[in-house]
This record gives sequence, C-alpha cells and structure tokens, in this order.
Amino acid sequence: MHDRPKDEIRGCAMRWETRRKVAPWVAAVAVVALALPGPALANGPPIQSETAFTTGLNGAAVRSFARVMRRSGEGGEMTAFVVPVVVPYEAIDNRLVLGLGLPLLTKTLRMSDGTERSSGFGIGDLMLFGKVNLFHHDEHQETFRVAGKLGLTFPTGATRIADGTGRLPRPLQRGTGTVNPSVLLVATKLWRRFGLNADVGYTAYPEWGGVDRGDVLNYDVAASFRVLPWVFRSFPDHQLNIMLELNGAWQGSTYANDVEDPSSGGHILFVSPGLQYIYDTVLVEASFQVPVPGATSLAGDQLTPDWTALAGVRWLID
Amino acid sequence: MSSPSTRRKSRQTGMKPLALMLLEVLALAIAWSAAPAWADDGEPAVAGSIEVRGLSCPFCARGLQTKIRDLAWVADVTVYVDDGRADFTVRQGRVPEVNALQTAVRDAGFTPGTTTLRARGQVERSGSDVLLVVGEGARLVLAAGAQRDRLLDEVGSSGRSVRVEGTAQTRGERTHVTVRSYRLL
Repeated sequence: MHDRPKDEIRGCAMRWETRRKVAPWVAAVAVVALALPGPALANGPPIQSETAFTTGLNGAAVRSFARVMRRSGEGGEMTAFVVPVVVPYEAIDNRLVLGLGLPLLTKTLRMSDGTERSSGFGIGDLMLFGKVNLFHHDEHQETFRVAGKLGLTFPTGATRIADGTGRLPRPLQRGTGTVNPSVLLVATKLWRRFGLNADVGYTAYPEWGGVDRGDVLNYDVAASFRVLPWVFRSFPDHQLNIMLELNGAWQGSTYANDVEDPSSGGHILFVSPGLQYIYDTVLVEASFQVPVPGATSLAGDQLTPDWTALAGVRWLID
Repeated sequence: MSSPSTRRKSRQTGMKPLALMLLEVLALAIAWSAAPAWADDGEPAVAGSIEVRGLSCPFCARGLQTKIRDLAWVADVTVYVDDGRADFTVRQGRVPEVNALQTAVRDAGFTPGTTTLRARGQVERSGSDVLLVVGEGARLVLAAGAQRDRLLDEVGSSGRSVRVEGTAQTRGERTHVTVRSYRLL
C-alpha cells in the first residue's frame, strides 16, 4: 500500500482565471485524490511501500488507516485527511491477488488571507488492482520474491463540488475525473529478522478537459527489523517491527491546452520511519513521513510537503 | 429415600472385597497389555513435522497454519517460525498424506522440505511389504533400509509394539517411512 509520493506531487494545470495564484496550492493538493493506497497486502510489512508477497491472505483481508498530509508555502497551507479501505483477495494460491480500494477523504486549502475551501468528506476514486507472483525462491529462514502489479483507478470521486465562491479547483475535488492505469514491479527479500523491499512503478494520467497531467515514476525502498520476539517460536506471538522507508517519485510537467504549467512536476523524496505490531490475524501500524532535505525539487512555486502521518490496521479474515 | 432392601444391596456391592479389586486391576492390566500400540496412551499414534523454507514472514504463518489444519487427517498443527517448520498430529485411524501436506505448504506460499514422522504401532508383514499398523485400518509402509532390517531382526514374529521415527513420502495412496531410529515398547 503506497503512500505514494507520486501522488503528493501530482501537478495540475488550471483553467480558471485565478490559475496563477492558486496553481502552487492545487499542484500540491492534487495528490490526495489518489491517496488511495496501493495494493499492499495484509500479509505484513512494509507500511508505505509495496511487498512482493501474494500469500497469507487466506481468501480475504481488510486494510484501513487514517492519513493526514500537510503541505505549506508562502500562500498558506493544505491539509488532507484520507481513510482508505482496501480489500485484497487471494484469487490463486500464492500466485495472484486481486483487490479493490476505496478512499474516504477530505481536502482543505487554507490561504494566507484566511480564506478556506474544503471538499467535505466523501468517497474518492475507486482502485482495482491485480498482483502476480513472478519469481519465488525460498531457503531456510529466508525468501526472495518478485511480483508485478497492474492497477486501474476509476473516477468515482466527485469532480463538481462547489462552495460559496463557486466550484472548487479541480485538485480540491475528491475525484480526479480520469481512469489512470499503473504498473509496478516489486522485490522483497526477507531473512531471519530482517526485511528489504524495493519497488518501481509508473502511473499514466490521460488528458482530460484539456489538461494533461504529467505521468509519475515512483520508487520505494524499505528496510525492516523484527524487534520482538527475539526468538519467534510458535505462531502466534506478539511481534514488533521497526522500519525505515524511502519513498520517492518524479512527475512530468502538466500541460493545459498544450501550454506547460511552470509550477508543476518535479521530484520528491520522503524518509518514513514506522512501527508495526502484529498478533495472530491483526496488524496495527503507524508511520511518519518527512521530506529528505535537499532531495526534493518541485518546479515553480508549488506547496512543499511538511509531513504525513499514518495510523492503521490490517486484519486477516479466515 | 431408599428402601431397606436397597440399602442392604448397596452394602453388599458398595464395599468391594479385596479379591474383586484385585481382579479388576488384573483385568485392566490384561486389557492394557492387549491394547494396540496406538491406543496405549493419550498421545496420538502418528505425529510429525515438515520443514518449511522461506518462513520469514510471521504474519504469513497464519496462512500456513490454516492450510495445514484444513487437511482432513490433521488433528492439530503448530508453526515454529524461527525453526522453519510446522509440527502436526494425525487423527486417530488416519495416516498422513505427504503430497497433500507439501501442496498445502506451497499453496501457503512457502517451499516444503523434508517431512519427518514419529509413529507408534505394531509391525506387520504383508507379502513383501513391512507395515506399521498405527490404527484401525491405518498402516504405514516401512521402506527398505538398514534400520528397518535391524528392527525386523529384533521384533521377529513377536508382533511387538514399536515407536519409529523417519522421513516420509507418499507414493500412490500409501505413505512410506524410511526408518531413522526406533524403539521397542
């Protein structure tokens, strides 16, 4: 399940008359529309990145969490609150997982002059995904796996929300209005009490309403360590994992009617420490993201990310 | 309230004469000695463990546990994560199917290794086969090998009960055990 930095920097071109003023905010807020987590499964770590595991679900699982994202700049600040619910299903044992996810979210843009605009709370865009195991090699107390994932996001979120001053800017809407395909390759190495995950993905954003948002190339690296139990005897046992993730993304510029938005696109990199507690069929986790100093380079005068906080639960259904 | 005749009867049968008690003890001893090896205590006649490679994801152990437990002949299962193995006990009157066990491990997302069985029963010859009777209609085939031959030499035709340990494979519908060690009971 991705806390996609790619989403964080999703650019957006403006067609309304205040476009120049609002553009930086909007570019920053756009992201939230796809704060829907990726297809990370309920079979364990990492928190913000993807896993190559396609097993352990026993048919079904549920993942949900609450995420708060904050960005700020000279003009004010943006806060997004997202609660996605993701249900993966192990369609073919150890081979294929299918799933869907639907976020509930609200986005609020508070300008420096005190003006506030909010989308209100509601559903966002629906995501369907499939993840297939491509490679699998096991040894005693270690495993290496590679998986590929295809995803499609459907525009089920509202795109015509208005407040007292008129229709909200498109990035403040809860939906994106487009069908967005994505592909991702992920590798996972687990040995003894250590885990290492790496993934790279690409998401295409088709043109809609004269706006062509830049596609996103994202990448994640996550390292985890089992703190407790020191020796994992019989299952179940109380388990505590710590992890450190790097979540990066690069996005191309946005074009509106073939004109490039100078305040769109760029690169962003987060460092994300996290904690995970697991017992039997329940996993509780928390993670905090901050941008890596010097590694974030957003074009123009977009809002810059301050932090992201996440707390959630995953539950295996027998 | 009981009648006088009932009380009298109760006195007659309520206090067991010493001879009667001794007879009961003797009968129990005979019954115990005549009982098949698989029924001589509360432990399962057959138990075992399977090596599970790739078991580095404790959260995934849940799936492994469930898939093994779903096998009809499995009475109980415990997954030992750091040891990389799953221990199981077999239902009374059943024998483990190693191929099904390995499939369950694969379906759970791991790679099965060696399956080891510990079985208690009586050695029986059937044609060229040497069988270990572990329950009513439940038989394991003792595969040819030096340890099995030693076992046969010791058991002879006495039909003694033994406890064997060895690696297991299922060929066709029969589970074969290559004896690594044994103990006469």
